[in-house]
Amino acid sequence: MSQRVLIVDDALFMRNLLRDIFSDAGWEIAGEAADGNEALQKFQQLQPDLVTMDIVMPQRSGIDALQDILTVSPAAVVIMCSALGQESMVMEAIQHGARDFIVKPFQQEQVLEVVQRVLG
Amino acid sequence: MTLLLPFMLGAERYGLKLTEIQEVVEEVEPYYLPAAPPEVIAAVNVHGRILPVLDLALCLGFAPSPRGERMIVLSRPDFALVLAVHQIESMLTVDLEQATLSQSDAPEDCICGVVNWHGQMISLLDLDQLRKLVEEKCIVPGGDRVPACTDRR
Amino acid sequence: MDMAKYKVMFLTEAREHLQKMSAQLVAIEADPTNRNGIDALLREAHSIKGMAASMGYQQHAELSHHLEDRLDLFRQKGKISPTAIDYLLAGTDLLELLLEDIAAGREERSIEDFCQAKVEPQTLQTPRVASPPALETKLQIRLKLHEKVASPAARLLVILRQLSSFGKILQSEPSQEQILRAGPVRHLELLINTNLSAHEIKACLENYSEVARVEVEEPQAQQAKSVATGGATVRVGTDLLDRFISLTGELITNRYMLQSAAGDRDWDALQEGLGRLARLVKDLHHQVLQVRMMPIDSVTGRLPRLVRDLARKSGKEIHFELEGGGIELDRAILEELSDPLVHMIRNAIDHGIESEGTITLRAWRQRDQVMLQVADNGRGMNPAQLRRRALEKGLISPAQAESMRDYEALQLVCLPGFSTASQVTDTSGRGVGMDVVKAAVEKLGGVLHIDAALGRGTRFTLKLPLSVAIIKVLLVEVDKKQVALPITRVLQTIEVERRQIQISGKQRVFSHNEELLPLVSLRKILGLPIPQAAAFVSVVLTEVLGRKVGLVVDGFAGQKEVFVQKMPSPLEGLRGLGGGTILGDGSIVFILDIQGLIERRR
Repeated sequence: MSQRVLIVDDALFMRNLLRDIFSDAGWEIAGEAADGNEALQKFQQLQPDLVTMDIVMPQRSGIDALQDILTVSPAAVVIMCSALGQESMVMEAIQHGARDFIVKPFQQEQVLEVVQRVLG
Repeated sequence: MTLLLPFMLGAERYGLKLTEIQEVVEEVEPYYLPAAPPEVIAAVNVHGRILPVLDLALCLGFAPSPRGERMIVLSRPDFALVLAVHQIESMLTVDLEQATLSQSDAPEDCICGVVNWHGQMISLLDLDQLRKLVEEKCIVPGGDRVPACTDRR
Repeated sequence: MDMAKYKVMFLTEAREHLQKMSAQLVAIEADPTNRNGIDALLREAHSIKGMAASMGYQQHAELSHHLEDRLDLFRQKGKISPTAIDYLLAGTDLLELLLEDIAAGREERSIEDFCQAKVEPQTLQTPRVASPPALETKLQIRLKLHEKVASPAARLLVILRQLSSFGKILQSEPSQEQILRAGPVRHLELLINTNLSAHEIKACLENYSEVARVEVEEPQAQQAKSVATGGATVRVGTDLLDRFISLTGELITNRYMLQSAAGDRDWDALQEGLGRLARLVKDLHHQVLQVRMMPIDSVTGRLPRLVRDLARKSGKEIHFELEGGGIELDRAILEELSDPLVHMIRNAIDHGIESEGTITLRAWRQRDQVMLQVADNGRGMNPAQLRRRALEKGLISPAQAESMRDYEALQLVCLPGFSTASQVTDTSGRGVGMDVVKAAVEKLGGVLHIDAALGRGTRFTLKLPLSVAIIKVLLVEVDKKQVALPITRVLQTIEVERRQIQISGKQRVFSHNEELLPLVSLRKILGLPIPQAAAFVSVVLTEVLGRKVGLVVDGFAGQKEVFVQKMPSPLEGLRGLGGGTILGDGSIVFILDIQGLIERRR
């Protein structure tokens, strides 16, 4: 049975890009969320093996959503999606329990390497 | 009777009373002492104390001649110094009452008296004068231009 | 909440309490019904338990609790039996071992065996302690990220997190806090206690494509030590802190006074203000030195126990007395003294006292020096015998042996190589001779005297300075000689390429950070010969009269913390010389005051 990912990003373009990368690698896309509030709902509902979490999103930020998810499920595997210049936010997220991070623009190998590491 | 340690500077024989000497050291390693007047040629480690070495011959204006391996450590607390001399001889017992005490007209000679030891003249080194002489050399402003000692070459 | 920063403090305090406990136990052995003594012991055990529990050191807290329970029992009985003293001492030993585990960042060893043992002397002479899990090893990891990695600090943080899941990270450079603060960090160096192999860890780190290079190896012993020691802490009385605060206040007032005097061009007021400033600075210096002072008790705490154990081992009956434990000395001096003291006491037990006697450790002030004496009332030393032995070993010549006074002959025991193999015993035969003691004392600017009378005992007297000026220096080379510069005067050390040097007027200058700075040759200042310039010149960036200046030296020879000896009279007035120091190998290096030297030349 293939593994399941929840993709959280407010930009449709980014969600599509990640969707393609994961599908290509044989993953099942459990679902998508476009902001932090939706992320928690979807997480509880779908129980994915992995969450990719954008940092800057409207309403509830990725760091807040990360904390929410880890509160309900401390073992959740969340990796952050960041852009250049967001290093301090990435570090904050890591301190709060994010397992790893990927940096935009995403490249397939980079994403899969990180995924392999945090789950392998 | 007083114990006297005679030593040579050039062709002249000087002496120090044993009470003025802490010890005689041998083959101690000399270390570089920067910024000192030329008469202060090195520093040595005597039982963990750092002591400057004074080239007595140079200081008193004698021609340079090879220095001996043994050096004299002075015992006065206000004059912590090691004297390098040409050669140290063996101790003598002299009668200082018989010495000609000089009120030298040339204080820079640093001699406070002369003892006649079986016909040989031994000049008693005047440590108070020597101390003044060294102090002057150290405190002179622009210390590396020290005025030359009286030249007796 | 990160408890790590309290760890050093905990270790220091717990060790103090343990020392007091064992000293108290030894005292009670001689006076087993001393209620106050038992009460004091209970208090110590209780304090240790409280600290260990709040730090979360479980085994430590549990064992001190166990000892406290036992002590309470003895208090109810009103006395402690000798067997029980052995048991309690073994308990304090085990507590110390636990502290070592904690200091090294290991898992605490098990105390189960100890707590279950019955109070029987034979099983308790040496406590059986479980060693830490055998597979855990200390590994040193060095890694470097690729140049073009995005968010390198975040990457290092992830790696650090990952590694901490493999074991306990003892030290990391940069630390997590530094990574969080710093910008573009690409190197990580750390020590970890782990049960994974170096190979496994390396394989895991190679999974990160961002990692350019990684090395994993077992560290050298020396590096491990620096981790265990950690930073030293000092306790400061609040009254002293209050004085610092009031001094700071006075300095601020003084600054305003100087400012307004300068504004008014009021030279008298300026003079007065400067005079006041000089007094305040001197006062401040004095108070700061006070912070470094510690009572001698702080290193003698473990000695009663040592004497007791050694006496037992050698079958001698030895009484130990301590006088003047409240006398204070600079902590740097005390730290250096702790081993020499132990050695002199071992010596007294081994070679001094025959079957029964007293060892006295006495401290007293003599003007601005502290005297420390280890005296025994044993067999003393025989100058004739010492002369003969030194002669046999070829340490002195026959002429020297003959002319040597008795007092001088006693000092022969300080010659390296004097102790003979036949003297080596379980107690003092540890390869440390009196020469090491003498060297330690002299390094501190002190003096060691030995006197002894046949059949009436031996006295080792240490004459020590109250405090030492310890400063950090940069050693530099000129004309194959070494001199030192206070590190506080060094802004930077740089290698300047010869073609970067230009001539402006009569002055050689070089450009540094877009500033043209004058170059001064240290050789020239010291009147040493000037060689042909090499392709690169070593330059110490310093400040002279408020201006940046590049000081040209032949080379750099490292940094050192040194004890400064003032220049003795009549050379104390020599401008440009900030004192001298004796390095570990006995060589002398002088500390230069560059500003003084340059001003002198003008």
